[in-house]
Amino acid sequence: MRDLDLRVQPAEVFGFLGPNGAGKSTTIRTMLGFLRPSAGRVRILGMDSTRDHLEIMRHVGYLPGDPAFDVIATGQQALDFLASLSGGEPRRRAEVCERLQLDEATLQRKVRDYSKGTRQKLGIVQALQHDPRLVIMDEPTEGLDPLVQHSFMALLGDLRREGKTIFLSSHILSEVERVCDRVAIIRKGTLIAMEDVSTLLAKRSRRVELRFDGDPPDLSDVAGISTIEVVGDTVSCRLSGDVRPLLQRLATLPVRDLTIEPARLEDAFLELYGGSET
Amino acid sequence: MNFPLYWGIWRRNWAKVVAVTCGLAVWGFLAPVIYKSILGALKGLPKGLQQFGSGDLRTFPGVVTVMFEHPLVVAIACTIAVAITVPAIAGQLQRGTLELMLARPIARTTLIGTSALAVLTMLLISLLAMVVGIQVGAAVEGLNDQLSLGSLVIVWMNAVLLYAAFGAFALAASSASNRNGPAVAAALAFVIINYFLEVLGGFWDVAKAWQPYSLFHHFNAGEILTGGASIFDFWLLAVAAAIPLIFALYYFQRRDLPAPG
Repeated sequence: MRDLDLRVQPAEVFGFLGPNGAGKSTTIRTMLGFLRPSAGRVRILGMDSTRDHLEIMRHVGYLPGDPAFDVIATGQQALDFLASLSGGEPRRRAEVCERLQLDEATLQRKVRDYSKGTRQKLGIVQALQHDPRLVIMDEPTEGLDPLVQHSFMALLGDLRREGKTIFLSSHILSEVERVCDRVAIIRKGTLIAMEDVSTLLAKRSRRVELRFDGDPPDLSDVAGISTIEVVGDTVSCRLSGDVRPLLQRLATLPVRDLTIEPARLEDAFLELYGGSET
Repeated sequence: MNFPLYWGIWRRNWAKVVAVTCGLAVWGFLAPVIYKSILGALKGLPKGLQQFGSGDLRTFPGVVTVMFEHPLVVAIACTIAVAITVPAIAGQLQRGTLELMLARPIARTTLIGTSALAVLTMLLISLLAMVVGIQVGAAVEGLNDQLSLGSLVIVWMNAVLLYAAFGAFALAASSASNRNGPAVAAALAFVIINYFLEVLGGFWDVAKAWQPYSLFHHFNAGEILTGGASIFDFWLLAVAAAIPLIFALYYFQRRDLPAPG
């Protein structure tokens, strides 16, 4: 990693994006002290990550990319063991288990009998059970079914409202878009963007499709419109920035149907990544 | 020392420890039984076969010595010293369980220290079981008067130090490795080289000069049971255990821990 300067605000959900091998997990492992930086420093919750490592770890919940547990233990034993190492009561365990549909019978089974999804749920529970102030998660929805993913996202929302800070890495951009306040995008260990999700999306062009009664008009002079394609009575184009000039123009035209697809983080990501390649 | 971590190591390994402890207790119990039943045959052995390691087979302390120095006991004790120690660090790093533990308020030095203490306790208990087995067998066979309990306790401490030294080496190998296999191989190679040096010196006069370089040479049950304990052996084994332990504490604290897999 080079010149990586990230600042995560309290009580925000921060998305850390990049494809496989970009350095997301390496960054997280450096933050947690598993890897030593050759230069630079990490401060977590206002404390130095090396000098105050143990104090920081009292307030952190961590979910690794592929959480592994003692396979001969039951889920319950694994959670109890990790809670005892944290030194605090697992006061949030019941709630998180319920929301992730991890029932008591499942917790009494050996971890070796768990599916990948159930192991992932157990990983999320161990990261949150001691009610940490900062949650660091590496690909948290990996292996979760869509229903549980939805519950998990709602859980993250509740945590943010309670003032917890959440740092999550992911390559599933739709989930990041849904839950994150800000995102950072890295490529080959270098930061290429860090912005509010809403700002990032506002800068991106959106796909617009228009159907007219009769021949379509020429829209090339409308501010923000580009890449116009006309097929029969349908016009497809891309719109950047403010939508009002287009709407003002359309008010005088025989429009039968209008579709403006929202800007997607995926488009922004591909655009930034494509731009940084060149 | 971290108690939850300590009990976690015990919970993962209790079955191995119980098996080893029972095995050594039975093995110890057999010493007086075997001695009593084949005493006549042992006394008739040719002179060259009357000695095994530092034990004289014609005497009960000699047979007890043989039971302590037997390759089977070496193998069983190394099950704890190596097969429990190495997975505590390198094995967990390889499986990925270590990172969940270290994402808690646990110092790496605490992890090493607690693992060392857990293995030391296991060695103390399992080797004590052998001592108890010998004492019970001696009582059953009416041989208590031929063996001093005090000497037997010193042999036990000498044996614990020997296997603690191998355990400490295994811990050092484990703390420096990312995978279980290479650490186990290094630890076993260390045990085998030490055993080979000691055994070779027993058969070949030229190799006698190498025996002091073997840690097994400083486990002297025969001398202890006949009243000749050497404090130097205890110090040497203690230093041999301390050096790799200090290395593990120093190195593991400073090394990078790669992602598992």
